[in-house]
Amino acid sequence: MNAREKTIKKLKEDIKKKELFDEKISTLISDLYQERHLEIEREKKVLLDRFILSTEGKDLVLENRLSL
Amino acid sequence: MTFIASVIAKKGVAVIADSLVTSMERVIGYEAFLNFFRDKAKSTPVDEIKIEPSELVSLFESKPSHTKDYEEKLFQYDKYTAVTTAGTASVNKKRIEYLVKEIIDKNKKDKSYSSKKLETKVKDFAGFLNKEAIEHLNKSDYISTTTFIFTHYDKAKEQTTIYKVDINPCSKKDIKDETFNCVVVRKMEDYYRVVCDGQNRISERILFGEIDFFIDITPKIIDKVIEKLKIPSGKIPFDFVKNFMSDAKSFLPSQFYDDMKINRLADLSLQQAVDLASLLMKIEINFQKYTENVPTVGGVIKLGIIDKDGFKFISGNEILKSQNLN
Repeated sequence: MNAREKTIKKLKEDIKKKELFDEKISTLISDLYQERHLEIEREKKVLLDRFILSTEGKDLVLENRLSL
Repeated sequence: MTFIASVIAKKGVAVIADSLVTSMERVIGYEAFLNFFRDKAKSTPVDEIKIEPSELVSLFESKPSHTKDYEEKLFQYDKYTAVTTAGTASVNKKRIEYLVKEIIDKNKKDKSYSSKKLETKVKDFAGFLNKEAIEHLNKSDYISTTTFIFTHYDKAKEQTTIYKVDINPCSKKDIKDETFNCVVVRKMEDYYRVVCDGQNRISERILFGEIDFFIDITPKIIDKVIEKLKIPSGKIPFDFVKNFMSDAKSFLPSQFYDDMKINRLADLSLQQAVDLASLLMKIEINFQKYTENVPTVGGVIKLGIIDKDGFKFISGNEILKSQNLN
């Protein structure tokens, strides 16, 4: 293998490594985002479900009879 | 809250857990309550203030009310597997300790257990938790989030495999949907040389560097920009934020990744893994002293390893001479 071929081989390996790293980072960001934010969204949904269940879905009226 | 972690070494894995149990309460401060109504009154041109239930519910913040010691959070699951847990203290009226021990006993009676593939063992564990979670929801109106870190070392391949098994927050309403699963299993990718959970914000900042901040703040900025520009929700592509985050690598500068310690943790010795697990625990515990927050990590620290000889405790599993006698 001559010097030029070696350089091309090294370049290809570097590109492959970079692609793998990019893929790894994208998956990591996506994983962490889902872990943190989607869990928060689920928690909010559960809180709302419980609230609606406790009020039996009835209208809520806050009567404010006090004047300024 | 709690802190649990698994740190992968070349020839084994270190696992660590604290023993404090923190009771969390949803609370709303009176000032926050008043500010909410002030803002509502200002933005309402008529004499009536309309409030969505979701707005009311989002006013409540989850805060630790008190802690108590002691709770088992690190278990030897089988000879080469350990389970650590963070989250709720009980499911289906059973303490997590007894829940995990129940399935360990079940496995011991199962003659085919040792020949099962790791994936099957994890699936069985998740199935057991799902069954308990559904029974819990038949008696109670919700279940809060709980994570199990399932850590296995394969001595023949000299390889550690970690799964996160999460009981998702669920309400009674969720179990009416037959396709819904309370328990989600995730196999952690190879680059997670450290897997932690619970009150692990400082550890994650160290391990993930700038990425940690980016993940936390970006969705909030996107939401704010959408709100400021008054873009109707119908015009925002499906999964916009999720796709934006997945594509972050294409526009973030490379310096962002230089600070990711998790990329540089390959090939630790088992001693280094034990030291790193202990260091992360110590940082989480000690930093609490300098904040106004209720301490939520601490108590007895259990530390174990799994290597070619199987699981063994390194510390925290024996009764010591009382310090009161010193």
